[in-house]
Amino acid sequence: MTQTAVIEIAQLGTRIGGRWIHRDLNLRVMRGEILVLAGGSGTGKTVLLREMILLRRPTCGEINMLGFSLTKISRSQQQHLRHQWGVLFQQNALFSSLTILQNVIFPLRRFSLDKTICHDLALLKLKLAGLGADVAARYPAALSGGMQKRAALARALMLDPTIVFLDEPTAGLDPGRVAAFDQLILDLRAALGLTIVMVTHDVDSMRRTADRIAFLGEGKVLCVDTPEKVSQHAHPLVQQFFHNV
Amino acid sequence: MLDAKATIDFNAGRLICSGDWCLPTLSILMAKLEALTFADTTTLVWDGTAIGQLDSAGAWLILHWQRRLRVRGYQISHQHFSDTHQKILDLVSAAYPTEKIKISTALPNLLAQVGRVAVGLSMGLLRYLYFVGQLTVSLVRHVKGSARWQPAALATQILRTGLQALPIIGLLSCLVGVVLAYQLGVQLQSYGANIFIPDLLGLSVLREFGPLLTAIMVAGRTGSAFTAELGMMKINQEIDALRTMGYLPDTLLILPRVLGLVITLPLLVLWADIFGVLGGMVMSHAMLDLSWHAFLDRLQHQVPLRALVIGLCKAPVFALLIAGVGCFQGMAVTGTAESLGKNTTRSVVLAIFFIILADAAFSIVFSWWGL
Ligand SMILES: Nc1ncnc2c1ncn2[C@@H]1O[C@H](COP(=O)(O)OP(=O)(O)OP(=O)(O)O)[C@@H](O)[C@H]1O
Ligand SMILES: [Mg+2]
Repeated sequence: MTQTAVIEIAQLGTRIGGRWIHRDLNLRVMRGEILVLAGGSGTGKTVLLREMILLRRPTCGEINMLGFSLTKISRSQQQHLRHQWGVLFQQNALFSSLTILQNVIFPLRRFSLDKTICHDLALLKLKLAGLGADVAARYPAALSGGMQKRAALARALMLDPTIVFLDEPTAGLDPGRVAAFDQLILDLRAALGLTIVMVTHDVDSMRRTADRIAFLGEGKVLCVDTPEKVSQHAHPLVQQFFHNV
Repeated sequence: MLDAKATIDFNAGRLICSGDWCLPTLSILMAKLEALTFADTTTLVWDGTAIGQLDSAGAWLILHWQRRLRVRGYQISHQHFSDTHQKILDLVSAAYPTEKIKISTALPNLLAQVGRVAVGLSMGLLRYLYFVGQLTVSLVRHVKGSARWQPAALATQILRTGLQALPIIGLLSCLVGVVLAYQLGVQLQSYGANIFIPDLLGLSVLREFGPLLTAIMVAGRTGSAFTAELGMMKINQEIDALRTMGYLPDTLLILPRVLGLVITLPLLVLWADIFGVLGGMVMSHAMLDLSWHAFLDRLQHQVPLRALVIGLCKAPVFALLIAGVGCFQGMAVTGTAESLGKNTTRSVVLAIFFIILADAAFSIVFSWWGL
């Protein structure tokens, strides 16, 4: 693993509704690593993710991604960046009026590919995410929560993005699926060299997948380290999270 | 990435790949592969030494072509793929899609289509009747006292559909009055019949324009809002949540909306009448030099109270139509954003359609009664 940072967050602050959600937050994400964002509910993980993917401007501070500063970035550079990441939202965000197949091939639009190729590529990604061809023609509303999640994952992975942002990818999946998902993440990283930023509450899942865990609390990153070291960290919030004490 | 180059060459039994095999180059590579011909050989070596980037789409292309060539009877082997590229190939080949998606391209049968639309329409009508019946039952239960009224919800609806609509309805009615007075004035002036303008204006505004235009504006403003609100709640499963807690959406959501509008629409019509006449009066004063006093005097003596009462009588009926259609369409939303949009449009179009139909019916009935 080469030790270059793909994302660098420095002194980031976010103020929503008169409350500081983040204050003086610093974080680096290295190329090719799987970084898990952990922390209690409402500690601002989703907000931080949204700030990284240009859906929200931080109140102050800097985010540097692939060499671009997100606060002083031009429109075309934004587009260039957006093409290099795949995002799985906490609420799936599948397009409700398109079928699963149409949802998954949606990112392929700008490549003017033949329809049959698109279909095969979509089926490939669906299969990687654990879904068969039988769901392809169905609408998101006709799928179970976990199936929607996997379809959204297939869409996020469609372009083999450089950086993948996953917000609670395994929430609502059964344990077998979670393990399969973790394996998929590891395989994809090994094969394609993806960088993965993942929010999850599943301690087993983070132990299996994470290279490093960044633990959010009190508006900061309380600690960033390997899973073992983080779970040994002395901060009471961390202890409570990992050991229920 | 966008100016990525990739090629494939065939040379002495070897397929030599070079460049970036990834999404942006996929269609070029596809075309190049199609153009290749393999002369007098049955064994092919797929050489990946010179591949720069390989993504899963590129890997899929390689596997896809290898399958096709194998079917055509060639022996294929890999050579010189780097470790990471081999990993990608393994990953993709493990998930290689073998099934095909069946997408029916057959044109729908016209007769079947007509039948489906007809059945759909009559089912829609049935469901609407069911909805109205259910609402009536729920109203009766409220009147009998076996269900609890929701005064707060009703007050909210009155505020939103009535009070907050006052400015826009006042303004538009005033403008309609101005336009009407102007058009009438142009005609009447040429006969020297200026003094009749309050009669005509008063009668038409109070009896027809006030109620009709207000109802149409409210259908656009409030009927659509009802559909969108209820539809969104349906999509979010909020309605299901209410049901499981033992609350009926009728009581909490629909009845307050319907009753609220039945209360506010007549008031809005009165408000529109006032502003319509006011607009006409200002215009008459400016264009025809009719004094305020003369206008009001004639209005009082020449326009019968009946005109106002008839106009106000129509309002509750219009309100029932708007709120009924709006709520029904909202509850008929099914899960997708598209259906929300479609039903909102339908709610406004149908409400306006029924309003005009009802207005015509009123005209016929009133003329029978000689009113
Ligand atoms: N649009 C908003 N308006 C007001 N406050 C918000 C908004 N979005 C988020 N917040 C607040 O920001 C804080 C962080 O929210 P966030 O969604 O990032 O939590 P999270 O860490 O993702 O929690 P979870 O693990 O439950 O998903 C919360 O306290 C929330 O109330
Ligand atoms: Mg969240």
